[in-house]
Amino acid sequence: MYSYPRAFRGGLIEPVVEVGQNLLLAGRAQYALYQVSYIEEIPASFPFIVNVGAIVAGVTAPNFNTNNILDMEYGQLGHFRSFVLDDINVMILQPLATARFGNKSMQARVNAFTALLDPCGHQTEIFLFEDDRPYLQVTNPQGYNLAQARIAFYGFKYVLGNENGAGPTGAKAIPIKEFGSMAEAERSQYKYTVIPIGGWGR
Amino acid sequence: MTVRAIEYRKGIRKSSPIASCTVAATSVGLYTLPTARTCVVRKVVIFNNNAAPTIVQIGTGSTALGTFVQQLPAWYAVNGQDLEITEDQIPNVEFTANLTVQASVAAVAPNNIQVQVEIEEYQGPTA
Repeated sequence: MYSYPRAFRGGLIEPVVEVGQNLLLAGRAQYALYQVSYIEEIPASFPFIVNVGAIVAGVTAPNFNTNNILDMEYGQLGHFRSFVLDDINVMILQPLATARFGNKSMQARVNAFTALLDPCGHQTEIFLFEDDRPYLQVTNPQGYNLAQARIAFYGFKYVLGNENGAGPTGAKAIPIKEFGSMAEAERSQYKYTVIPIGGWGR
Repeated sequence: MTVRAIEYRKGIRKSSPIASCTVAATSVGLYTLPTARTCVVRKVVIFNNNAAPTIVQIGTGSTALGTFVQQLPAWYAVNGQDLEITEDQIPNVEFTANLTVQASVAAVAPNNIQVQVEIEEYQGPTA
């Protein structure tokens, strides 16, 4: 297993692997090994700014589906960090019924204060396998209405494949191998970087 | 040489709307804090439209309700002049309630006193 680079690494965002190296996508109880065929940057810019829209003072907006902005093609993995452009509290749900960044009692938010202690945004890092998109539950904490509620995403796109390369665009990627546990993956002797994908939290 | 205090924490910078003092010695709202947040005033800009000098006080509470509490030293604003006070000159007072402001001399526009602040806001335990 690679010890570096890895997911959630502090500092400016970088790809978690090189082209040709392997990713082990860790789901709730399944582990799929892919080889990365291609990497592309997604710089912080307006097409990747989600605007939830106007929110009345103190109100939580209906959950916002990011599918039109963040969805990846089949056979691709998205790697995103985020920051808010307005004074809002953003709870990231991935999938819809599961809040990210939580423990037994609480779910942390991405908000205007997050970047003060985490300027590189590594604690906001999420991964999107294909269309396992996040939903955003955004609250306006102010005593006045907000005309817009924006959160910006940036990161990398990984095209996944196996020993035979990536499949055609839009086709599901076929993993090199799938495992039922981390122990099984370790016994395989493959080298990989582990990527916890959304929806694992309980 | 400017000596700056090193703040042990970081907040977000925001601006208030422009408050307009139109009745002498009567406070008006200056900045509304989101629930459970606190703030420190980092910049004050005053313009005295009145024909007489005025003393501007920033605090909390309402003069009309008898609850106004001055939280920062008063500033003297010369008639027809603007006055900018930056963080070097402002004590590090933490506001836990909405900010209000009053002026000793004021009248309806165009003789009002305009006040705007820039604040550094700190996160509280609730959303």
